[in-house]
Amino acid sequence: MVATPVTEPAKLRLRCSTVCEISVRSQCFQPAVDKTDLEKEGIFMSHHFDTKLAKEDPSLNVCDLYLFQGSADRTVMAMTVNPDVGLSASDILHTEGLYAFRFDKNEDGTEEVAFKFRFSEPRHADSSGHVHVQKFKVHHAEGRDAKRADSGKVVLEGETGTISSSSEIKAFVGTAPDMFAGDAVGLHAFLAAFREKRYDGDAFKTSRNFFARRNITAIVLEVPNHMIAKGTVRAWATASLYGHAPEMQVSRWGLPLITHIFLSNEGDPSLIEKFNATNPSQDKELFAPPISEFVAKMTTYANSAANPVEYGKQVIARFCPTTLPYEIGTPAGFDHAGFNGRSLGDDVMDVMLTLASNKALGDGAEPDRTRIKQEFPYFGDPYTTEEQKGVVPVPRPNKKS
Amino acid sequence: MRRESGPLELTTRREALRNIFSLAILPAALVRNRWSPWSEKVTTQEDLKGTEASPTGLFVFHTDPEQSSVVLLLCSSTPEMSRMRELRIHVGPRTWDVPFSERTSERSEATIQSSVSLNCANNLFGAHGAGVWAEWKTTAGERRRVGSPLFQTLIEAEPELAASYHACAPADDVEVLKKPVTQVLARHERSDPRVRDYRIQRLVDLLLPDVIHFNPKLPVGFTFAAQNGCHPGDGAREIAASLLDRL
Repeated sequence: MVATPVTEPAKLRLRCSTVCEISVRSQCFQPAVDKTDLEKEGIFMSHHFDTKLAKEDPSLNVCDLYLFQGSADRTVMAMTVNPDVGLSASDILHTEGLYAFRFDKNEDGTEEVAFKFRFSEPRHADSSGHVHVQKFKVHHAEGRDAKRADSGKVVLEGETGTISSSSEIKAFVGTAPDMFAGDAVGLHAFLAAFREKRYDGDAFKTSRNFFARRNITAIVLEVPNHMIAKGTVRAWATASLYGHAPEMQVSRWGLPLITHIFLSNEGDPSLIEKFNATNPSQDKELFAPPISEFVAKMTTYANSAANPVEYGKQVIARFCPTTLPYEIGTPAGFDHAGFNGRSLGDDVMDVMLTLASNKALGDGAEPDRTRIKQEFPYFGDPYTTEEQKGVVPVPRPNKKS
Repeated sequence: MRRESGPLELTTRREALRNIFSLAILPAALVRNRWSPWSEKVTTQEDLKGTEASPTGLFVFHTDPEQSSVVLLLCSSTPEMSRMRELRIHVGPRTWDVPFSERTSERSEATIQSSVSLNCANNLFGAHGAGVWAEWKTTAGERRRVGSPLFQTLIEAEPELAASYHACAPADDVEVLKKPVTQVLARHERSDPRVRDYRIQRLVDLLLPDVIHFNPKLPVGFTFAAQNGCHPGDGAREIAASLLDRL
């Protein structure tokens, strides 16, 4: 491996032989399938397959963030990566990946506390070659260290696939059911109508949950509240590449569907790439204009706001900075009445569609709440091969697209 | 004060309300300036024609983002308005009494809306906004009040709660109404038992005290994204019903 400065994402990804090997291995999860029209057009959701690099390497694709009350005086944070793991993605976490939960305590859009995961080389867990095990370390960083790559104190070491714990902290990294629910076909039709300057609330008639019975890799951490903060924090999650070169952020998640709905205006992909590469402190400057423009247009087409421009301003006051607010130590809920963290069972798609249109709009798809456990790691068992019969693997987007 | 119905032959309630508002802010001959220590103007209008009945509602929005706003009380009907006595509009600590001395006695069945509007400067709402509400007595001596569309929606099917509500003022809302409101919400709340109480508490905090909070310096509208003031065109009842239903 050669330690050369790298500026282009694609080059950075390919310069490590280990990464290449993992990419090759992951091919065994990609059976030949007939793509649906939807899949051919690359329509996915939450933050699934958001950026060019995340499309190429799903292990760097932060799909969702959850933040909720855990056991006594503890907070649970969970991010998901590797969409459709087991069917079309490997279960491997990037060995040069830096997976971080970030917390802003003073509403300045920058983090004062962070928990970061680093993963070692994978090894096969069984003879099938499809299941891998990796060791990991959890870093707890505060102040300036929170912003500095993998700096911070190592507070836990563990191995994927099992619960790791110390006296205060628990962590789990492994395959889990995807708790996001959404009608991808409906969203595609909804946004197509928007591009035709129409509001189409009937687009969600099929109510098909594209994510039903799909798995994901969950990175779950439960820590004492005092390790985060008192009062209300604003959280987000990132996946970055860091190793041979300075940290390069690949994906960012602060609120659901920001990129797929609110930054989808006129299909400018550079906007989404920019969102994923930047920090919340820049959100107001960079993303408030396109978000408010999108919302103003949508509510104009829907005839749902007395003053669409004012409504656009109200929405960006909620969305910028694009971070998840949460009052530490309280039950979480991401609903129409407000955002306070996000529990595994929250139907965030309905909330975001409603905010986009200022109409009580839902897609009819709901998270599979039977898959939630009452104790750590709270994600229930992943869907088995038997349960996934009939689920069409998501074809990987073309690397050159 | 009788208006011609020609321009108000409307097809939707929203359009009707927008037109009513456009008439309501017409000054000159329509304005009856009861008293104006700060040059606010109180206007009453009656007998505006529409197509469907609606509950009495309170609206607050700016007419000029930099300078002026209006507090608008739309009565459910002219007969409803004719039963009003001792109407008082509250904006923060300030109040306006609206007398009804010059009234027409005969009204058509087709008339459904009447309005009272208070035009005022934005600085009336202070640096951080103010709570707006209105109260009156009916000719039968019953006290009535109105504030946010959220609470009006909540009490529609709750006569006992409505009775308690109309008997008190926002300053007493938390003490008097917190328990019965919590009980009503608990009957309808469908969320996970682990978060149920907390979610109810969040909604109680949103509902009480029952005023329309309005800060003209912030984006205005009663919407899914925020509730700052309320415009007749907001469709606030539908939004309120959805907020209550989807907690």
